[in-house]
Amino acid sequence: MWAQILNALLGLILMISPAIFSFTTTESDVNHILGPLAISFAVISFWQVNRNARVFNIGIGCLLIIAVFIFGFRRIPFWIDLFSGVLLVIFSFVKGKITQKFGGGWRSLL
Amino acid sequence: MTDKENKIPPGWSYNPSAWPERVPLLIIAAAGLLIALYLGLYQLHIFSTVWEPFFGNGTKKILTSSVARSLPIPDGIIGAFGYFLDLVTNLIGKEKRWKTKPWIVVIFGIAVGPLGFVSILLVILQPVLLHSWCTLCLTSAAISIVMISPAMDELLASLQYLKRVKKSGGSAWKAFWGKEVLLEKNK
Repeated sequence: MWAQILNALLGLILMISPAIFSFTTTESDVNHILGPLAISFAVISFWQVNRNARVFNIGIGCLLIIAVFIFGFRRIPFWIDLFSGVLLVIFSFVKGKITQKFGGGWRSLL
Repeated sequence: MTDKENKIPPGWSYNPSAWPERVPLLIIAAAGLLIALYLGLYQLHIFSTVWEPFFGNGTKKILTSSVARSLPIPDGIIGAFGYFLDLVTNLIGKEKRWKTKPWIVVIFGIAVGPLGFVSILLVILQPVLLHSWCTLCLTSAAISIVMISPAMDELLASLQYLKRVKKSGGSAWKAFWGKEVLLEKNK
């Protein structure tokens, strides 16, 4: 749970940072697209029934890491997005305690 | 077995259709409804100004943009309708509705899921296309994202139940409409 809260905060940092630091249009578009997605997946996985939704943030983190290189981010945006991307991936692997039972969860439907 | 335990789906540790699970959603859906309605009424020119504490002209710019008016009805009104559907489909049915009324649980899930998805999309469009933010639109989006998971657990219980009905040779279609209820013991 704490890891997913941190991921939601990382998404918030991504969303807010273009307003605080100098970002180019491409740099801020990347943050404005991936930030809200990171927050959404993190918030959805706050609940134990959907804790596995956290894996989507592995994808978001990887996209951030790729974006800073292919779009040639400048210094501050580069470090903010690279750090956020790496931390998003790391925290996405933290499952946390699952104390509730869901009759096998979503997997049981397969 | 107590009555409370009897309402818990097999293999679950709690009942996702219990009122303590549903009431918080009712409250935040009502808040979402009021916000969306307020924004929609501004878009319909019933209110001449709109509250915006942080982003200057942002709310006005977004609510009068081509994106917000791309459908015949302003998006605020559509959002309000979505929240209204959330409220109504949350209210219908007793504490065993995951089993007795799967159809309403599925409609509830459909109302909450896509509403959340559209909200995320609109949050992205605000800065990327319109270069502005809107406080109440962001609040409404936050509400609809928070609603997703607490609604999905009930949907999961209903879908698992329909699968068990089918496996036992019953009609999942009849069970979906609550016309046949499979007798089963909680483990």
